[in-house]
Amino acid sequence: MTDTAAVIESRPWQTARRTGKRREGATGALFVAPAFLLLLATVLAPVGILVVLSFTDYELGAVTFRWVGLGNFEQALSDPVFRRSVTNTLLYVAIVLPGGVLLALLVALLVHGRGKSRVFYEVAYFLPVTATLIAMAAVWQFVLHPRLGPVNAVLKMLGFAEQGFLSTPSLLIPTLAFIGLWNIVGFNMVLFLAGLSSIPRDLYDAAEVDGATSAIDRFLTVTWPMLAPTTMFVVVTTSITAFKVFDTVAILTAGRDGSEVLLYAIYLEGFQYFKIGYAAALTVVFLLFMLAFSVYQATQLDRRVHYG
Amino acid sequence: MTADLSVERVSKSFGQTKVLDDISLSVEPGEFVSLVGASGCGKSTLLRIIAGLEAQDQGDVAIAGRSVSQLSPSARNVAMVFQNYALYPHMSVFDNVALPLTMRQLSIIERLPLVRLASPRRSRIAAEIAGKVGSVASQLRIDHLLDRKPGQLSGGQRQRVALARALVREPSLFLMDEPLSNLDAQLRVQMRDEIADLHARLGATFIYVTHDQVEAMTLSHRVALLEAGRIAQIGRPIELYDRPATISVACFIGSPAINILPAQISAGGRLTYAGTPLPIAVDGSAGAAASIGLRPEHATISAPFDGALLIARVRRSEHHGPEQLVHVEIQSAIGGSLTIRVPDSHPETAEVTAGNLVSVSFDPRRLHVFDAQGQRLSTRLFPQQPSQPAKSRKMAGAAV
Repeated sequence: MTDTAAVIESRPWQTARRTGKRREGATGALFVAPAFLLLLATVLAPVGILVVLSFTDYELGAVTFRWVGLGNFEQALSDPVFRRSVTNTLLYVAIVLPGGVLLALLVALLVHGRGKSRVFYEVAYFLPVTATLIAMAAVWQFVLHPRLGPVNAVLKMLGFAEQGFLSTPSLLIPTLAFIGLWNIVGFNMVLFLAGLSSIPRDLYDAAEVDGATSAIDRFLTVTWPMLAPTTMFVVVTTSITAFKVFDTVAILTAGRDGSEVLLYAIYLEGFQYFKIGYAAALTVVFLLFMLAFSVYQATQLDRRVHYG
Repeated sequence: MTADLSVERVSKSFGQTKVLDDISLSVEPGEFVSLVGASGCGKSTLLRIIAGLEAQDQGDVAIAGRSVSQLSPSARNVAMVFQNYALYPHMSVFDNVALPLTMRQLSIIERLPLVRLASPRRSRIAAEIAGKVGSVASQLRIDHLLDRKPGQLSGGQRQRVALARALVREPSLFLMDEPLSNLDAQLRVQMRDEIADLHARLGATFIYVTHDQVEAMTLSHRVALLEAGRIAQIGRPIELYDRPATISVACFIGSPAINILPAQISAGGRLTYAGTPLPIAVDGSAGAAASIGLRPEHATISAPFDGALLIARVRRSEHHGPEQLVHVEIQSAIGGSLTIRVPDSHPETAEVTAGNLVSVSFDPRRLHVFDAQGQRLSTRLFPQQPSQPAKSRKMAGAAV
C-alpha cells in the first residue's frame, strides 16, 4: 500500500495534476463563497440561532437567559392550546391540500377547454390571488355574518337554520379552510393550465387512434401522467401555504373558540407574550412538520413522477 | 385483412382558409400511396381526416367499402405513425407498444393495477398481449429495449417503437405522417428501406405523407402530389417524373430540380426560345407565352459552336461520384441559369471548368412544355423541311 503510494508520489505528472486539482478546488470555493455566505447569513444562521433559542427561556428585551434543555418542548406537548393548534393546522391542511389541488385541476381542465371565454375565466379565478387576503377577510366576515350576510339569507330561504360560520367552534376551521381554498385555487389553476398547454397535441391524437376514446381514458393515459411534474409542484407549494395559514385566523377569529393554528400560536407566544424561547421551540416543531412532509413528498411522490 | 380506402370529394376549411378542396382518392388493397407536397398543401390534414382526428366539412371517407366518416379514430381500425413519434414518455417501451391492445381488450376496471391479481380473464389477456408485443418487438429489433422509457432511446429506436405500436394491432390501414423527417440523413435512408420491407411483408395498405419527393418516389406505388388543397397529379412515380401534369409538379419532383426556360408559341404552334424557333410544336394560340421544362439529365454540353441555341458560361460544377452537376449561366438577353447532369465519364471535362463557355443542346422530344397557366401541353416534332433529312437526336437540338 505504502509502496504504491510512494510510486505514485514519484510520478511528477501525478503531483502536478494533484496541485492543479487543489488549485482548481480553491478557485471553485472562491466562486461559491458569495452565494454560500449569503445563504449562511440569511437562512442557515437564523435557523441555527432559532434552534439555540428553543433550548432557552429567553424573553424579548431580557438581558439574561437560562438553558432549559427540552423544557420548552415538554411544555408545548402538555399545553392544550398548542396541541389544539397542531390538530387545527392538520385539519386545515387536510381540507386545503386535496381540495386546492383537485379543484384547481378540475377548473384548469374546464378552462383549458374553453375557446374565447378562456381569458375571462382565467382572470376571474385568479382574482382572489391578487386580492389581499386581509382586505378580503373583511368581505368574508360580512358574507358569512349570521344576520347580515347573504349566505345565511340563502340558507334561511332554503329552510335551513342560521349558521354562525365564524362563531360555532366546530365550523371555524372548515370555514377558514374554505376561504383558504377560495384564495389558492386560482393560483394552482394557472400552474395546471401551464402544464396542460405543454402537453403535445400528438399524444392525444395517438391515444385516440390507440383506442383511448373516452375522456376518462384520455385523462388517465395522457393528461394525468403528463401533468405529474406540475401536480408535484402544486402539492408542495399548496401544503406549504396551508401549513402557514395565519392571516385569516388573525383577522376573522383571533384564535378564539379554539381556532388556534400553529403560526398563530407562535405569533402569540413570540410577539404578544414575548416568550421568544418558547416561540422558538414551537417554530422548531413547525419546521420539523414541514421537513417531514417535504421529505415524504420528495422521496415517495417524486418516484412516481415522470419528468419529460 | 387489407382494405381499400376511398376518399370522395372531401373539403376542409380552417376559418377562411380552404385547406382541402374537393379531394378524391381511391387506394387499392395493399397499395402504398404517398401524399406529397410543400408544407401547407393540406397533405397532413387529409391524413388526419382519413384517421378521423379531424372532421371534413364535406365529402366522405370509406374504408373497405364502408363509410367511416361517423366513426372515431379507434373504431376505424387504422394505425398512425406521427412525425414526432408521439410515444407516451412516462411509459416503458413495452407499455407503449401494448397500449393499443390493452385499451381495446381490457375494460377500464381491468386496467387498474390491483385487478391484475384478482381477475383470471385479465391475466390471460395480459399474457396474450405480452406475446404479441414480444413478437412485434423482435420483428423491429427493439426486444432488448422493452424496459426502457422513450427518453432513453435514440431517434431511430423511437421510430421503431412508434412503428411497433402501429403494427401490434394488425390494422388494415397504416397512416404515416412524415415519419422520417426527424431522423438524420443516413438513418432516414435506412428506415426508408425498412418501411419498404415492412410494407412488402405485411401487404397492408399504406398512406404515407411526406414533403420529401425522394421518399415518395422510392417507396410508393403511386404518388399524389397536393398543391393548395387539390391533387395536382396522381400516378406512378415515373409518370409524375416523365409526364408532369403541371409546371409545379415538374418543379417539385426530381432532384436537382427541372430547369425552366421561358418560351413563346409562334405561328403553327411552333415553339420559339429567345426568338429562335425550335423543332417542336404544341397546341396553343400563337403569341402566347409558354415555359419549357428541361430535366438536368436531358441536356448535354459541348464545346461552343456557331449557331448553337444556348451558349452558357460554367459557373460551378459539383462532383457526385457517378455524375457531375454543372451549373451554367445562359449567355443571352433572356439569361437564366441551368443545371446539367453530366456522367462523370464525360470526356469533355475541360468543358465543365468554371468560367468556360459551352454550348448546351437537348433532345426536343424530351422537353416538357407548359402553358402560361402552368398546364402541360402535348408536344410533337415540328414538320421538318423536306430538304433536311432526319438528324440524329442530339444534332436536332444542337443545330437549331
